[in-house]
Amino acid sequence: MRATLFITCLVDQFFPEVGEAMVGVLSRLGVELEFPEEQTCCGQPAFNGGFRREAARVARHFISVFEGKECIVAPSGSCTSMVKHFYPELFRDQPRWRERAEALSSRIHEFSEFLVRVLGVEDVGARYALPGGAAGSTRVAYHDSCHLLRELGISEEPRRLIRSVQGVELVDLSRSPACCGFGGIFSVKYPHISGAILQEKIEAIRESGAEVVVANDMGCLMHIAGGLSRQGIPLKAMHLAELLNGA
Amino acid sequence: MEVRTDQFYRSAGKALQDQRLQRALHNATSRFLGQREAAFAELPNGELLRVKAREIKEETCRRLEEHLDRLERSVSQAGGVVFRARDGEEACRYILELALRHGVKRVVKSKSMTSEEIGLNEALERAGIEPVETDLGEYIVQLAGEKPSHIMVPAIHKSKEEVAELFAERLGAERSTEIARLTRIARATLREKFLTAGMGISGANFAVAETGTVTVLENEGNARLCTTLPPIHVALVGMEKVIPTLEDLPVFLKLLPRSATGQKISSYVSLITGPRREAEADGPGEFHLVLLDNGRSRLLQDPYLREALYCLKCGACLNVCPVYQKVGGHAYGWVYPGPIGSVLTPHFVGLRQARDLPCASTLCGACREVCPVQIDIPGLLLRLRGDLAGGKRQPSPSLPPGRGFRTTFGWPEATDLLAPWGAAPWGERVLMALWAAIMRSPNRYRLTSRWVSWLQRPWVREGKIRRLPSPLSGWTQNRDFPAVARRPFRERWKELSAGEQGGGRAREQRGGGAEGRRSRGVPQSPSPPAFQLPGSENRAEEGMGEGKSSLIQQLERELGRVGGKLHRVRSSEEACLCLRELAQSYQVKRVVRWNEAPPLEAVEIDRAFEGLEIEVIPGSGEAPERLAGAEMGLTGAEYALADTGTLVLVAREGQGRAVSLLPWVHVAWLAADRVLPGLEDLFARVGDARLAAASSCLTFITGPSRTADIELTLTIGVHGPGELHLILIEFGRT
Ligand code: SF4
Repeated sequence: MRATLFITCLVDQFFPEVGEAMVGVLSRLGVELEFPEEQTCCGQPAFNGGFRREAARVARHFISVFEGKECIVAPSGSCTSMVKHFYPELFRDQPRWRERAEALSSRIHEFSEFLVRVLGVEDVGARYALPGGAAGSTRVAYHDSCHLLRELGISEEPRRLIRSVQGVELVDLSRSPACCGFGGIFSVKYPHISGAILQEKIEAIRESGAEVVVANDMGCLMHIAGGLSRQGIPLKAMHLAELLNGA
Repeated sequence: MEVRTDQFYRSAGKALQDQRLQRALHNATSRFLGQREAAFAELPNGELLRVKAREIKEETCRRLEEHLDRLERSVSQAGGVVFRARDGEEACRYILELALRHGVKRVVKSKSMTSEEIGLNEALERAGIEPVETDLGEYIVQLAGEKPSHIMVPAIHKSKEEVAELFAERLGAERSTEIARLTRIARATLREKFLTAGMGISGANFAVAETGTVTVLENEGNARLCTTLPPIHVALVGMEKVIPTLEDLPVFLKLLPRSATGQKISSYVSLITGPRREAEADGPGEFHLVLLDNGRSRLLQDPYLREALYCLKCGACLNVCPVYQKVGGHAYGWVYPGPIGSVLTPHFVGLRQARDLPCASTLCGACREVCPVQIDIPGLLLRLRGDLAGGKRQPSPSLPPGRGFRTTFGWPEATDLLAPWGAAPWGERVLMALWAAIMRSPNRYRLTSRWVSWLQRPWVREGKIRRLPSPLSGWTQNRDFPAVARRPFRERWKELSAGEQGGGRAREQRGGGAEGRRSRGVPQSPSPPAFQLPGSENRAEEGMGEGKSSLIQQLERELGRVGGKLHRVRSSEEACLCLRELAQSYQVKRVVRWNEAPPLEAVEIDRAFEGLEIEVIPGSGEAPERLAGAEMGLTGAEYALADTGTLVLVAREGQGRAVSLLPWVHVAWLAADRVLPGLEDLFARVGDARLAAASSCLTFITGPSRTADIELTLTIGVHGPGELHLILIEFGRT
């Protein structure tokens, strides 16, 4: 199996360890990986801001980089849905580009979707060890990222993957499908609202008794971790790939 | 209504600080969401119904003019008057002139967002006419001189203490924080208004083109009073509310209440066709339908935004919206709040004026998921953001000429240059252009990354930044920001690919190779549920026999669920006995009955009360004041619906509308062979379209009158009856 990595700009620039973890997990499963170095961003920030022209510029770059790749894997639900669903919409009036965009739609996969639906793997053989090698299991809560859940329809796959990690207990997170309040530029334009929504999420996580919160999108995680850190709450927020890599 | 959409940021901030409001919002939205979910879980084919509803709306809007013409003809045939108002001003003027012509001093109104949209109350007041909002929540809000904050519960932001204070001050009522008492105070005060108003104004949820029937859904009974007691009824209806035929109605009657409050059906559904017919016992002598455009036909021309017109105003998208849950309705600054408000409001007040709204969303998509007509709200918000950013779609057909946001060349107006970045498309535009230039070139991307990771140094502590400069300063108000990694992934890749791909780094593994770890069988997506067409659910057989008795059991159960009571009897004599006992148990002094209420004869009914000190008066020809003085109203019914516990009443000669509405106790009876499984069966009955057209009013009654307008506390008997009994006569049952 060969796959092409799309390491989203957020992961590339801020969380390279997530990319590394993804490489670790996939290559241990025998997936041969490549990483086209000309890749940058999918264009989502501009698209969500309504800047379609700018988004299209970046999207064209993305398409020319990834065109012809058989199978693309990305550590983000929202970037995947950007390429999968919104590229064809973005190029609705440009038939040639639209065609090229549509050719990519079926070939890009979000990380957990790739593992479960493409590779057919639900147990990657990972173990989560407590610091210092102490015995016992770690309680993990899973937060449904909005685009992963509602644009791509993925909610069971990550949960199955988490459950099969040794030393991990998946706990219920109340209102898990509720948005964490990130929303890209929304989080900067309306920090007070964004923060208030985040507060609900943080409270739900705390109530769940989890020690680790896992999601599949660094946007949400950056937001949640930023809030946890500001409030000095000793809770870990991590990407699924990190957990599966035995972080 | 005053437009304050430009103050969204600040109003939202205020709402966030208001602890009581936060609690109220939390309670209301989570309650409604939970009830909605439970209601849909119980509904087979819920998804299919949504598809169906969407199709009807799409189809109708495609040929809207045709349907409107048909509606107009049908209403006129029924004896009503139709006025097509191009804008709010025309609509207000028409209603005002009508009121002045008839010397109307007081108008009673039932909940209508359309009337808020056109500022009807203000127009009436200016002309010296008193508009009285009669929905309990709206009444509270009006007394307080405020505006509604939620589609379903307008006074969600008021505590019972505040309401008590308000009633004491404005109505001189005794001070009580008991919600049932407060509700009774409102009932008494508003009763008086209903009985003395010269005109009733209602909105409508649907207007059926085929028959000219306007349909009003409600729980309190105030809309029934508004459309029954005053001599003139005006229905103010947005033109998008038209649906083609009566048979389209059940889909919406099922979806709307479930989406709004999680009820299977609203307590009262009124199907009003024209004014009172000559022979009928009561009802308004004049019926006017004001069909409002006010920019709707312009919205209809917009190929993307037109779907916003499919909205049923159920409020589900508000309840599920993470932003609405936090900021409430007032922050949105105009009539229509929440996600759908953010789509509609820019259209009505101008995109420039409302430009904060399309951005006030995380695009989480929860609204689209719950919308009964599947409106792609996030997609529409994106469209509007595109219009704001000045994409290719110029000029946008949805922008009112002259009031829009001129961005053909992305050229800002002078104020944009001065405004802070958060509100300035100009600054945003420059940043975005810069961003795109960087992102489309791997070299520039690499360079920028290096540059930023160097520049950020003075601010980084332990890998985090606690304060970012503008324009990103908003983030660090309440969250830490991660530092740009010293070495991005792309730099690490080379080593990674050398190490990992060669299988160099040994890691602990469980099981065999990738093959061995494969789960048994690729997980299959669950097979889709077998679809059934709505209306083809298994139905119990009609007629007597086992099917019938399970139907009756279902009716009994459902009626009980909504707070009514079923009494099963075997003959007219038993029915009368039951009647007598009920009257005694409520210790009534005066009952009012339909003049004719088959299968019971009038003399039989009157004899039921023999020997008791109870005055029995026939309903027809009585003044409403006298009816209102009766404690118990006795009526027959046309049908009962088992799956919702609903009674269907038809206004006819000798069968007044007010008898089932004004007294505190409503007792109805029905022969058992008139029990139908559900709504579709009712609408599928041949001749029901004619039935609707022949009578001025069909009423579906499901349980007693109810409200949850004060602190979401369910209170029974706000405007209509507080008690409902159905005597089911099973002739021949042994
Ligand atoms: S947009 Fe949909 S969910 Fe929102 S109020 Fe309208 S019909 Fe209901």
